[in-house]
Amino acid sequence: MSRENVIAKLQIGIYLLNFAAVCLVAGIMTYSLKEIVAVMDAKSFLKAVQVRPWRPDTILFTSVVCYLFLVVLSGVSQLWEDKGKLVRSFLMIGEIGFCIGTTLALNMNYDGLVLLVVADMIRGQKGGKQKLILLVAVTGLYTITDYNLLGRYFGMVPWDSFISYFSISTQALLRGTRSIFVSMNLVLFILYMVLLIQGEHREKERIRFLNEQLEAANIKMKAYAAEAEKNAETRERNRLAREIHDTLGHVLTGIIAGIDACITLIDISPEETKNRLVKIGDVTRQGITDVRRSVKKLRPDVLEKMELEKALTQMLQDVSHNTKAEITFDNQVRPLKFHEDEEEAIYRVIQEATTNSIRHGHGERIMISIEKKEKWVTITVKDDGKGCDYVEQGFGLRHMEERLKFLGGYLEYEGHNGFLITARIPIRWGEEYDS
Amino acid sequence: MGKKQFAARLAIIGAAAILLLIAAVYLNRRRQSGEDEILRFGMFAGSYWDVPNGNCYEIIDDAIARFEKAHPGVKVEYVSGILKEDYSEWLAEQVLLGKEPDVFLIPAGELATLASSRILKNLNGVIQKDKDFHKESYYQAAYRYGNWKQKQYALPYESVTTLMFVNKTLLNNEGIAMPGNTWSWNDFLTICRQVTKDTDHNGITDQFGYYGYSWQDAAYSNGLSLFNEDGTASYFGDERMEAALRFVKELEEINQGYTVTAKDFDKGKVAFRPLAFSEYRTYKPYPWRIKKYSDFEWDCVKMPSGPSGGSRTELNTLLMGISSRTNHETMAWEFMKTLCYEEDTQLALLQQSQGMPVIRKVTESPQFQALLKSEAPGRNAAVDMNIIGQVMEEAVEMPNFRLYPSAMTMADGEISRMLKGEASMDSGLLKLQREINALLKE
Repeated sequence: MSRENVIAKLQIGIYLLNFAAVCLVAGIMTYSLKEIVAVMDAKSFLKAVQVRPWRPDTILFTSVVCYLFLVVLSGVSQLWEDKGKLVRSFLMIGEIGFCIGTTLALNMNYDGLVLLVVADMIRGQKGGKQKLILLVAVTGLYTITDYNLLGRYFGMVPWDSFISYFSISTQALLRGTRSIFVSMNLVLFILYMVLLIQGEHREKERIRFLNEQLEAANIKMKAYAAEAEKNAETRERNRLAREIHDTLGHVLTGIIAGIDACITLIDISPEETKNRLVKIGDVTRQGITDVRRSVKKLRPDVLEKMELEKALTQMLQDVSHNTKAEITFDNQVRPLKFHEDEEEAIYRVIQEATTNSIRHGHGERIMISIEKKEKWVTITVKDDGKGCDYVEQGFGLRHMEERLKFLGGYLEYEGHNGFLITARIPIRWGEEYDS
Repeated sequence: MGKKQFAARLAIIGAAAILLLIAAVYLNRRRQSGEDEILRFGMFAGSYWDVPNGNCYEIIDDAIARFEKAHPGVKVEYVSGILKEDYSEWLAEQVLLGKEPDVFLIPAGELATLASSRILKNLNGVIQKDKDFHKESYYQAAYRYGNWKQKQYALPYESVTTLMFVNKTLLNNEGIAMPGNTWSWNDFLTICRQVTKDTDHNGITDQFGYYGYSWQDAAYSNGLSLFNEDGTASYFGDERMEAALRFVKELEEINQGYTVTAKDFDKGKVAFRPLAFSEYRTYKPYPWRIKKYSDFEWDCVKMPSGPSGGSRTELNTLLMGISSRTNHETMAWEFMKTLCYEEDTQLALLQQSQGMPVIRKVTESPQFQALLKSEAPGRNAAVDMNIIGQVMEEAVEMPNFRLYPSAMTMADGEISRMLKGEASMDSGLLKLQREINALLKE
């Protein structure tokens, strides 16, 4: 028998048991009122209880009808477990109302219905603030349904007064029957709660287990990534070594051999030496081409494949996909074409500054502009984020600064009103460095 | 569909089915009930005042007929034949069965119980709304008797005050003039001293001054109320109380230890006896006058007044109230007004009941005076029956708080000890006041 099955049966059991209890208590109350009249003890009864009891028929009618409505609402609240908060609150309030109605009709002589409502509340609650509300509601319900606290005020007649007109043995029987119902109800409630909480506990356990597995996989992934990076580095080093060896080594060797030959030849045949030197020049030029080709391979992929402006636009587009911030790019330099190292510096500065803004500033807008004045190109990256009064120079900023210094430029930044980075680079116009 | 859903659905269907069934039965029963608005009235047979009464239903039947004529579509029903001594139990039974009448007479001394158990309806609201109703029309003491904890729960139907019965024949024989309505304790004492004697000279006193004059009578006629209005404090330590007790003690000493009985009075051997007005109304006219007090001429005067106050007496009032769960609130109020407020009914009380109307205008009407005269042919014109109006006006209502009976029992016991000289009077009264106040605080 599955756990769900047991819970369902328990629930039906609780409904039926409470129905029986309500009928029994209301029935005995009704019967004893009529019995008191039959033995002509009405006046002393009234004098003893000091309140006017409900009409016998009203007791029976109200308690049964209110209880049935309570059951209907309880059922509906289970079927509508995924409905909105408002609907569920209304259902809960309705349940509490009918619970109070039934309990009042029973003159607070049976408080088991509170448990039924509490079970519904606990099943429906989803942690957090609701726990507090639940606590308040349960305390309130118990207060209201407790005879000793408010019974006199509501004109309730205690159980003992009702049954005091039966014989002693009948009284004992009735008292016992009622306490059996109360305890049975309690047992069923506890069982139900245990199963419910157990189910929840199992769910939590499963989630925890899955989380652990995920964690382990993550760690493994990190190790793999580190290894892969190391491998790539090694590979790259090997390639560089090979490249140097293959290009520079080869050329330098040729140059050395040619120069040695020239030293020997210069006195014998200056003509021949000249030829050789021309050849050496060719080899050197060839070597430079090779070196350039090698270096090209080390450039950022995007820049290698396309022009700077396009690359920037693409990069910013990619970035803006991953953030809520609105990025504007204002380029006043056309065509945006510089030396490779300059382009790379510009690209990296913009990339780094944008990343910083998103990561630290959390701004809504990032404004990027490039402008040119004489030989200086100025790049500004500004955001409206939270900025910072004291800028701690991290790796990114230092890296940018170094890169710019290398080109003869410099970097300025301030974080009082958002964060503003200004980079200036002197451009080597006309110093053609053809490729 | 999960198992849980199954349980929920089963519960809903089951409960809804039973609910439908109940609704069907309920509607069916509603359809069977009639269209007339039925007002139920609760009353007992006989007189509230423990005197014989010929036809107690006539006055009610007349009132019902008038009421039904004025309010078409409304029928008034009552159960006849309930004896006064069974009435309290009958009413309690009806309350338990939830079938108490809409309007009913309140058994003696049960106002507090019925009001505190919320069986009676608080009338303050309807009284305020009803522009035709003026509580000033009632004798104050009668109206206030229906008040409990500042709320009016009942209206007075009829009242009875205490008067001093005088054996005229005895006074004549002794050559003493009939006391007037302004007589004092001293006059009372003097006459008692004069008449208390051994008439047949056999050594045993056989003619007495008074019978049944209690310390309560003395206290009231000395202008003292024993309790405050809401029954939370008592005034036994008052010096008027002490004066009253000294007076009663003096009276007792005249009898020289002989205990006068009701039989002595009936035989014409006692000059004075405080009696309820209902007795006067019963035994004065034919046919009852030949049954009792037939050996001597008698009449009544106001109680003698003490030095600190007028001749106040305690007013006993029959009350009527409305059930707090009546479905016909307006009609119940109208019907109660027909009985307790309408002059027609109150006038009819004069002819058919032994109580006093509670409406001032009726008591002071010429019809009433004429009736009293016709009932007592050949009576001494010196006694003006206008005193009835005065006595009613000056009367104090009987306290109706819950602990009144137990407080009075306690006081009575202690005071008889004082009268017998077993306890000191001045310190004893203060102690009694303390003890009763403590009891009232419970």
